[in-house]
Amino acid sequence: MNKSQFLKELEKRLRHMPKEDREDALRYYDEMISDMGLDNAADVTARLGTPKEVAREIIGNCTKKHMDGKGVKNKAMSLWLLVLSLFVSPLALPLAFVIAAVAVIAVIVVILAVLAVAALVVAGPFLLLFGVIKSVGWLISGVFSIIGAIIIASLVIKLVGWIAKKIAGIF
Amino acid sequence: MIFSLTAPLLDACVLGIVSCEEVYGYTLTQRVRQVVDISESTLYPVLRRLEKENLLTTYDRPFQGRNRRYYRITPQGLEKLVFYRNEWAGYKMQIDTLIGGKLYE
Repeated sequence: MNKSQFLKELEKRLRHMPKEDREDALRYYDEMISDMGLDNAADVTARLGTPKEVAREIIGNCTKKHMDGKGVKNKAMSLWLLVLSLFVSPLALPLAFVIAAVAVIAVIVVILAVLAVAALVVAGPFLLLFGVIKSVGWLISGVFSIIGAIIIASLVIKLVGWIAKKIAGIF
Repeated sequence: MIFSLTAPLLDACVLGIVSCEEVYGYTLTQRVRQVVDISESTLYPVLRRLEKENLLTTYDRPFQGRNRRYYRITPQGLEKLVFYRNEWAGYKMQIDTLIGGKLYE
């Protein structure tokens, strides 16, 4: 992407930052690109990185800076910037995926648990007729869904721990 | 180059450069690139932070119809630079001792 595309994209990614910080950053890169002689270049990202990478660096450093500040307003800003940095971080996509997966698994576990109980109740009297295998099949599927839920839950706990550590860093 | 600059060392290099001359972003980056292969965008967060910590100030000079931002070291920046120089001297000596095999000299 060329200079103006780069700056436009960068501005978009920095839009939640304080105005002063955003304008300072844009100005720096505007100047840098000119001084590098890339005003008319077809692609500036080869030397500078993508706007996404650059924004991540800037926001990450802004968060650290604000974290050193004191007072409620600074802490609120830090929390907000932390949430922001989460969404530009490499975790953004996995995070969204995990949240969706947890919701889906939770629903499935509930449904399967209800079905498993119902199946046991129904299968009981018919155990002799249809064989032990069928009811064991229901049991096994219930167990697997529970195992899957445990795995997902442990991932979520790890994520929550990471977030908690960051928040603890603010306070 | 096989050794990389840690953050405090990068800070120290920037302060060192700025203490000698008043540079603008591009020149400053080029100076650092003489020592380590950083990208042109690496320095922005560093410069911004040093400015917020009051170790640098900036001022503008007109250049070809636009403004160029120059960086200048502050008294606090100089103090910090002296601190870094002492730290570095000690660290360098320790590394030299280990690498140079002078342990038992």
